[in-house]
Amino acid sequence: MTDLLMSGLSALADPSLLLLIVVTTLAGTIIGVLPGLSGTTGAALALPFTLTMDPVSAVVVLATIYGSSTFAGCITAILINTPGTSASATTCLDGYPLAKRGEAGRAIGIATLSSCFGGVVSVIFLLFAAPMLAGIAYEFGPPEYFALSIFGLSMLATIGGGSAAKNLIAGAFGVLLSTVGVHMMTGTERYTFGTSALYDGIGFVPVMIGLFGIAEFLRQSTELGLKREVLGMKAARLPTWADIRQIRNTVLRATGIGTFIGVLPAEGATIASMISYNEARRTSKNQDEFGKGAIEGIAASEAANNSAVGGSLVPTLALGIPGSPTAAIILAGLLAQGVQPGPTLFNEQGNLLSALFAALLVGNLLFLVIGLGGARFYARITQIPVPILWPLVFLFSIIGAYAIRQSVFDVYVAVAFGAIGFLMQRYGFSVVSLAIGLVLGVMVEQRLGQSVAMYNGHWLLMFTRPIALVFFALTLLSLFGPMVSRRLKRKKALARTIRERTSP
Amino acid sequence: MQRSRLVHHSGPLLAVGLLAILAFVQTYTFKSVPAILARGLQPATFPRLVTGLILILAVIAFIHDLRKPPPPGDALPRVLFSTTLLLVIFSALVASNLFLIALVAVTVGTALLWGERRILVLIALALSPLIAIVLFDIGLEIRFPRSPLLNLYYEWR
Repeated sequence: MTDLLMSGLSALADPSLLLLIVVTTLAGTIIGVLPGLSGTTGAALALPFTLTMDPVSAVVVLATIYGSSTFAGCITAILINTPGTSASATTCLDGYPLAKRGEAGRAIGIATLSSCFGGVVSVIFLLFAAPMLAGIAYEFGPPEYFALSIFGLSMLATIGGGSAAKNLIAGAFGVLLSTVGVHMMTGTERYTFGTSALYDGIGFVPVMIGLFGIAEFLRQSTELGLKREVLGMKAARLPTWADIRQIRNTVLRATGIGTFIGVLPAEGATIASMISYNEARRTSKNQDEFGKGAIEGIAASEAANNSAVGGSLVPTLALGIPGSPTAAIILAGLLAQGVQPGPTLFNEQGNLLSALFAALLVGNLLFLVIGLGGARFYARITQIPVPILWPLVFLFSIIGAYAIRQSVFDVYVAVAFGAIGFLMQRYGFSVVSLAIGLVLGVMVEQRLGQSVAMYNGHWLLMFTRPIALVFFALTLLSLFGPMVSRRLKRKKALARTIRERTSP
Repeated sequence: MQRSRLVHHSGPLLAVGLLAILAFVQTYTFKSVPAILARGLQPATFPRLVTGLILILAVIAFIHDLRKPPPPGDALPRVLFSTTLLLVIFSALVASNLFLIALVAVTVGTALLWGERRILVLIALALSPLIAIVLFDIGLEIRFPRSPLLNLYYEWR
């Protein structure tokens, strides 16, 4: 761990790497402030560019885009009441009211400092936790990996706050899509319909570009009349000591929640910020201020969403299980570079990991400069007319989809999944679930097959393995826990009402 | 009320169910392999499990959604349909080996449909696919599908 930290810091001595981090942090910030363009879309669009780079530069580009776009969402959330990314949706609730009161500079300052703190702590956590988890993963066999990926899929139930069943349907469809192509173990064609372009399966990157880029392009056409007004702002400033004292505990709690949520497979920054915001409101002495410009609300949301970035990379690097949709793209980027995530990564690719840590660390510190110095400039970027911006996003989406395998078929896949993604969102199905199902599907089937073979068909023996059993128990908990908790709450409320009515 | 709920919720879930059934039926066209090769799991087994799960989940989602009132209907704007039509035209042009023209059509077409009328902006947008292709060709050595216009560029290179 210390070696990783030291080599990470020494990696920063390379001026070209440092320049790459600065450039991609700025690019990621632009992506983050543009409403509709998320870090996931940004990473998916950047992926083809990284193919010609060496693995270290590629992973640095993807990771810094992820971190900086997550941070930048707060700028537009505060200044135009439109979250640049969904992870900053809760920042709008208090950031915009505070900005309307003429305190935009203070709001940006609090968001920037909280983001920076959450981000740096989560990178340090990543530095220590990922190698530890990788060490544990040496104990994992096919049944454990199968149980872990099933647990990852079960977490999709709670993604995005929509219907659990619909989220799981989307995830299962992703898994089903992963079976398209020639079956690796047996060479049997599945769902290829005689099309040779489908023999290698459906490409992950064109699907992601379709689901996140082209679907959003279509959705933008339904919001053409929307006017976004940028609030005036004096210079952003660092919070005062009184502000820091007020948000201190909230930021610490939100960083913990964000990092923990990030580590959970599939759950990302959006859920982390929602949970942290609710928790901050629940524990605050100024509950009435929430929704009207409470600085704890801004701090909770921003510390949580940035700390989820580092957290989500822990299972991605240590186990090959993406902690968030953007982490899934980073995973695809690593695989495209021939780098296999998992326990061996930490022994074989030390320089890559140290560069990744360095990039995230420097990126997080750059937020202070960008947030405090450039917020006004970045807010202006949101004023780029939609009829100019989105045709260009579409253009780069198509070229990106084509470039990855130089296949016209991938262009059709991206366009088709754009339409599918738009319809899914309209009818309450999570596109994130589909994307993560597609990533995990291959692992689920492969590990299930290996487990069945390992026990000569007696698959129930999988439940005799303690680690696998823990993951299966967690799966049940994540599927039925929220339902049981809701019932218990309802029962409690009913009992309280009866008590109140019957008491004299 | 009950009828409108049924109509609202059944449409998408019916489509999901139908897709799952089609995918399930399709698994019967997959070839079976000797047990030694399958190692406990025939190629059709896993897709069948997943499609079965989707069907069960679709039924659960349907029952669950029936209890909820349908959300207020928001009509889709006409420009969405024209944009979708543009994507269909784009796909047709790509299929006809007119990759560059397809990109120009969609960038300029979308801008026009979405209200952009400034000639200079439209010209810049029309040139943007060519610039992007040249950048990807020179910077990342990505070769785009040959088409009459791109052939001129590649011959010039």
